[in-house]
Amino acid sequence: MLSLRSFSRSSLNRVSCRHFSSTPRSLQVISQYNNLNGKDAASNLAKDYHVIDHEYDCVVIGAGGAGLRAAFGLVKEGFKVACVSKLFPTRSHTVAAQGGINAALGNTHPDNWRWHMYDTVKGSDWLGDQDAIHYMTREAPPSIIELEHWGLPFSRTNEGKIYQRAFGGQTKDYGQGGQAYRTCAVADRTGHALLHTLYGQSLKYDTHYFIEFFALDLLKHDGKVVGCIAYNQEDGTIHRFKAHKTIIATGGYGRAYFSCTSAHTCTGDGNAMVSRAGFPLEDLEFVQFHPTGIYGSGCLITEGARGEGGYLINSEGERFMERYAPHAKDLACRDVVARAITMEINGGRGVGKDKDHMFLQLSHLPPSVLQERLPGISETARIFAGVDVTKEPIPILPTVHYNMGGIPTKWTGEALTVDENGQDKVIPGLMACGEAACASVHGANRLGANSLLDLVVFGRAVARTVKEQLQPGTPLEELPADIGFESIKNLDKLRTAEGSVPTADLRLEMQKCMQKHIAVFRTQDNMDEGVEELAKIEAKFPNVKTTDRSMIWNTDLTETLELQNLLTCARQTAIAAAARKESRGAHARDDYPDRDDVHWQKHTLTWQNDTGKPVDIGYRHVITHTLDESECKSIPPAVRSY
Amino acid sequence: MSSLIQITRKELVRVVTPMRWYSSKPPIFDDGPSPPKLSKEEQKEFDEAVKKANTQMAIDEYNEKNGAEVKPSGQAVLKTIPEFEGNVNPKTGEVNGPKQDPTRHGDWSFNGRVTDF
Repeated sequence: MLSLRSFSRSSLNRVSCRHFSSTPRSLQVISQYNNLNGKDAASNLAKDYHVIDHEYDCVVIGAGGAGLRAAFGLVKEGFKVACVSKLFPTRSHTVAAQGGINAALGNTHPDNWRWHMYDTVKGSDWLGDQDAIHYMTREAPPSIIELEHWGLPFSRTNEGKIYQRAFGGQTKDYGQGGQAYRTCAVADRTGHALLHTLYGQSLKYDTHYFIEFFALDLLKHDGKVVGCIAYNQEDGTIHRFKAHKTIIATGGYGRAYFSCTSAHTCTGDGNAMVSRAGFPLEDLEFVQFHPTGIYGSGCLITEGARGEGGYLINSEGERFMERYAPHAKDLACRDVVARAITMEINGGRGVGKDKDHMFLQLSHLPPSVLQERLPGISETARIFAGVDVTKEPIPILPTVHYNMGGIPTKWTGEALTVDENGQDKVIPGLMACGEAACASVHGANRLGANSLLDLVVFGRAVARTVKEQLQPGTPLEELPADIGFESIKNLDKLRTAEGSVPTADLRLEMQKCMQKHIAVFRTQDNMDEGVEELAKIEAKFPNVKTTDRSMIWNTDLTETLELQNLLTCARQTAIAAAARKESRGAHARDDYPDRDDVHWQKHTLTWQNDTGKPVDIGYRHVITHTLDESECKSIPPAVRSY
Repeated sequence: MSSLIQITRKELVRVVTPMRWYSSKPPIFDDGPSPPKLSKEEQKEFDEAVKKANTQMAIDEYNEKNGAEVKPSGQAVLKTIPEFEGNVNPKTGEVNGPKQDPTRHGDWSFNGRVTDF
């Protein structure tokens, strides 16, 4: 109060009245009132662009669950950290993850993280790296307790402990003891509460947020990643962040498909940046699908709808599941249903203008069943599909939910590549966590309620790793003055692109192609067609058309940059999928129905340096040993059945 | 503390009158930008008519008169249909948990909408 008074007095002496906009814009990053202001870069770098340089110990790209956890974890260790995000942190997609979070806390029954580890390894279909899974499941309970201490309002038991419920894939005693109760939740808003708790915590620390900055590329020098370059959408300036460690936490790339649950912002920007920097991406062919997502909106309809008597029909009004699964019919397991739907669509029996989806009929069910057994579904259908379930069927199609693949990392969060001998090699300066990373804890298939765990555990791991490797305030090495110039050139090219294909058209073409060829029905012919078609689509990218020429909030430009990122993710996914000749987890092929551990228990690596360039493919061995065999034995491959 | 402020304010008022405070004073102009005012009585009548026309009753009346199909508002349908009252689930003893069991269909869902599986 005292300072306020003295302020008003002294200002009174100077000026007689206050003007409307004289308040310091302290919320804006670039202003004379804060210390975030970087140095202007040499003006001859790109004469039309205002380039500003910043120096940090670490830069985190993405401010979702993993990004926030990593960012403030690093600040806590004394580092100077920039967090660059194209969204305000609480708008990140973590907010929509309303499931639970697994940890062997043992609040309902005696539990052991080794059992959780067994379940995760089995869920991954033995493609997960067991050292990372070991680390994640062991660190799960302390990570959850940490969240609890930060005020995450978990649902509780009578005694006040965190309530844990039963969820798919969780067992006791290495699969022998029956269903485990291991999933913690915050009523029906776990992701929301988690993100807001992390955001609240992050404000306790002096992280420098660069919000609504679109990261364009990584800065690379001498084979090392030395930061990133980003475009500030608010004022059109270009910012180069120089840092010892660059942490990517940009989430998945669900938007490469036509139907997905992820937000419109989940465009795999981090993955594409790593690709463009010349490093590989791992296991992109493993994409998790749900059979019944509402057409258009991508919101998923519960399997309970089929469980309570709903059935799927094609354009001829036929209950086609009777053909694909004569016994289980519509109650067949998820991937069987998803594959049947896709096969019907590919067979030309889809409904709608483009014959590209199916109907889920509930109207034959008596209203009392709908009300008692499926409460809320009529509202969901009306809001997201605009249909009245008592009269009309719900339009649905298989929908992407999670990308298991991403930037290959060690259990420490350090990004990996392979050397000439196929051995793992850490990429200096680059780290990744969250859905963008492939640690790989999810392997070929993610278990329910393990993704939120992945965020917090590996976000935390990043901070711990950097703490051991770097001294806060270490001076940065001198970089070439024109570093990042290529990215500005690319941005300039897209901003002034005068082609003939609008961004949205090309994106839709890519999404439909991915949905048709690289979704759940995977045969060699179908995928090869997809690979070819995608190459053609990618070849159209240089002919893209943008109409907005400004630099201020140019969403046309941003979407085009995102499309560029999606294209590389899509193309690599298609090629990785076509190459893997086995069925494993989420990658289920009709022509190779079995898992082949002899030839294919290995991670796929794909490289694509630039849009339109050919994709290189390679492999990396799966880590089958744990961090410490005396603490926890590795789990030998077995048949995965539930 | 409050007396301190008062003193300051008094002093300030004495020193310079045209000082604007953050939000403590009523705005100088009664309304925002608006069309030219009518005569006093006509304006009063007009304001009352506008006020009345904005009530839910007037809207319903208008819709009914025109035979428009009235859909229930979005607010009501977004509500979760609770399985129990209060904060404690009577079956499991869970405190502050979800009002519908999210895992009853095998996946994790609310209102038929799946968020995890």
